[in-house]
Amino acid sequence: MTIKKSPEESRDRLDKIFHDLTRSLRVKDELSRFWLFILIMFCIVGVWAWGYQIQQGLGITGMRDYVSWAMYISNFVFFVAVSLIGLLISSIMHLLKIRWAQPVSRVAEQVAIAAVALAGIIIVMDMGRPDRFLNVFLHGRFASPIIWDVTVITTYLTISALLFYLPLIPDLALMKNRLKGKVPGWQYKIYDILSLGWKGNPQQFKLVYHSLRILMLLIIPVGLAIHTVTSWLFASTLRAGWDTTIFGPYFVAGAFVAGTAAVILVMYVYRVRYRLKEYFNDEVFDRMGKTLVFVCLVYLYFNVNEFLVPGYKMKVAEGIHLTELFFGRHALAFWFTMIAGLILPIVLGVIKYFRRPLPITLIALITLIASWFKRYIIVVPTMEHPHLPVQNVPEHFVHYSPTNPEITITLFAFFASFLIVTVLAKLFPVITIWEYAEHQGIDKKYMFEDYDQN
Amino acid sequence: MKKIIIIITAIILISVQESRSAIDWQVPDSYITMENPVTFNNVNVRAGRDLWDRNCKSCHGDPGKFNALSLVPPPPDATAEVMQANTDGAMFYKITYGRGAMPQFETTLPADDRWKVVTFIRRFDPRNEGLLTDEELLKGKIYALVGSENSTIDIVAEVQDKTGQLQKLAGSTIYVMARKTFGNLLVGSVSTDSEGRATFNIPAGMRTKSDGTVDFVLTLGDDFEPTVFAISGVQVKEPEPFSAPPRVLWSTNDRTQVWLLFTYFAALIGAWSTIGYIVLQIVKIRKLSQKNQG
Repeated sequence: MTIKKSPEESRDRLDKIFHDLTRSLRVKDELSRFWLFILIMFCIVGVWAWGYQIQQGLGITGMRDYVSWAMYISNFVFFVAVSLIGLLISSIMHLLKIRWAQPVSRVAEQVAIAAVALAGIIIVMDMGRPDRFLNVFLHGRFASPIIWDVTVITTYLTISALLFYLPLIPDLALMKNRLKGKVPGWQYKIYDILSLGWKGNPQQFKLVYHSLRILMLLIIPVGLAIHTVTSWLFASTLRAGWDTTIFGPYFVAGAFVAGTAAVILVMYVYRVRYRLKEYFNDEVFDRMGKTLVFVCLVYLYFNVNEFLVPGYKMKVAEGIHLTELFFGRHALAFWFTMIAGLILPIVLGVIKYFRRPLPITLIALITLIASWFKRYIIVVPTMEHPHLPVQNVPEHFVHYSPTNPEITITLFAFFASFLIVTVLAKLFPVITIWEYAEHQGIDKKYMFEDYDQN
Repeated sequence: MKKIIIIITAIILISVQESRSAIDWQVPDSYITMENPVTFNNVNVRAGRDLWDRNCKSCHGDPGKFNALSLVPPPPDATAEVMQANTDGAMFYKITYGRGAMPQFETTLPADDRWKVVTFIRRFDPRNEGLLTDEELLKGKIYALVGSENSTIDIVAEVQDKTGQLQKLAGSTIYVMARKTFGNLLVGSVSTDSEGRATFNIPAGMRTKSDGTVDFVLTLGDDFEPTVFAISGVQVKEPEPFSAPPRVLWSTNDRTQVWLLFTYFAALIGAWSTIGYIVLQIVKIRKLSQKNQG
């Protein structure tokens, strides 16, 4: 693979790679317009619902005194979870020099940026008085995980954006050189500004490698922190089902499951829509399928811990909680998350046939849906089982069910994150061109004229 | 078959022996012949009843109701034949030293009290039936005033005689109690003199309510119909200065642990200074391109 190619061959090959990978920038057919239209419409409806919620107050949601964390918080945890995949694929796998993961790393960063940005927005949407958002910083209490969470999400978003941007700089220069007149003026201008006048000399590459290395190391503690701190929001209370010490690693393990599934889905869409069969090839899907099995096994191990230990002790509140999960009101959702979100990907994922692109994508879709319900199962049943008896309240205080505006706002988060991923894919190539080309044996001097001159 | 019968018989015999030995509690002769020094009268039986309620009832239950705990061996009811078959001395011995689940009271009750318990149990001995007639309770009255500087309580007590006339109550015990949230706490007692008067010295260091006052309750002994005289709000001490803690959330920043703050800010500064360094590298990349242009 890494055999150096002759100059002519290299140039031809580079042209082909560039052509394939910038196809996403050029595709402008009915389907992509329709897709954008759907996304924007849903986002507008979501923002309208949020405005209605601000006007009417949180009373229009299904949340009441007992269940005061519900679908928004579940959704928040889900998006934080999905964002963690950026850490696994673009940092850890990169540092371990895992070759097949290289084309996936920008997809993982896209997913991470979209998810973590939405996580921040969802939290603001869960506030009854979003105009008081700044108070979180002005009057934040450092003994509460909330300020830690706000801090770490902001930090993670910044690092993810940088990790997306840095490898993009040489690509931007390539696009600036080759796409003049082929893309709208404003788009070309963006490439021009963001490429920083990149010349591609070795010192510049050295700086990029150096910075990337630091960022990849930095994102590991920050990425782990983002989901661990989110788990502390729950684990620092004494509620049944939340009061455990393994909640940090439990959330992190679950996050990798959701993130891997999300990346497989996005990858498959790119493969089909942008005809990138050669790039997101069967091997990549096979490896991602194996990764999914592996992270599911780790998560299964934590689930066993999470349910068996309270099951042995059967403290009163824990007992009620577990019974409700296993056989009660939430049994259907619980067993769906367990079977579809954990057992299914493990059992099918070990069979080679199911790791082919289409089957593994379908499995990933089911896993991702189950992952969302898993967060719902973590948040809502515990809120419904306080330690003190619930009495003298109306029925709709005792059991939570989401209302229409609430569901609309939750859906907004999904469509807004799709929109972010779509815009990123329409503006920038979904695979790092120069890195991929180099792996194909094309020397940097054929990409950047300045590379040889110094 | 024969062997089995022998074994079963042996087991039954052994278990009978076992349960017999539970009943069979050897008491030294010196105790069996001991006589109860406490007179069998209403006052002592009442005292014995109070001791029984506090020390014995939890296992032996209420006399005559056979509601003892189901322990092995079973604690007998006070009216049971097994119990009454003991001599006074034997009962005293068993209370004093205990055995198995029956605790010893040698170190927890004085000998006099142990004898009073025996006296109370004897109240249910069929041989003693009709010996004690329930005396009619006396009707007494207490009057009291707080003395000079709120340091004493001056008490006058009277009793109704058979003709219904009020007489001075001489040589009787007055119990002084303080009213607390969950009941009255005995502070002390005084005896009335021949004039029916008594002076109770309020203890200097006694606990008061936060405003420095005590609500006193005075009563007569068990021989009297329930009689109380209450003196509320006696200012025993200066009121304590108001020191209720301010209402705060548990995790305000001034209560945050130093190590927590250190962790937070170390992580924050560490991460953002690294990000700052990366931004500097990006600026450097830009400068490198400009230099080449020029």
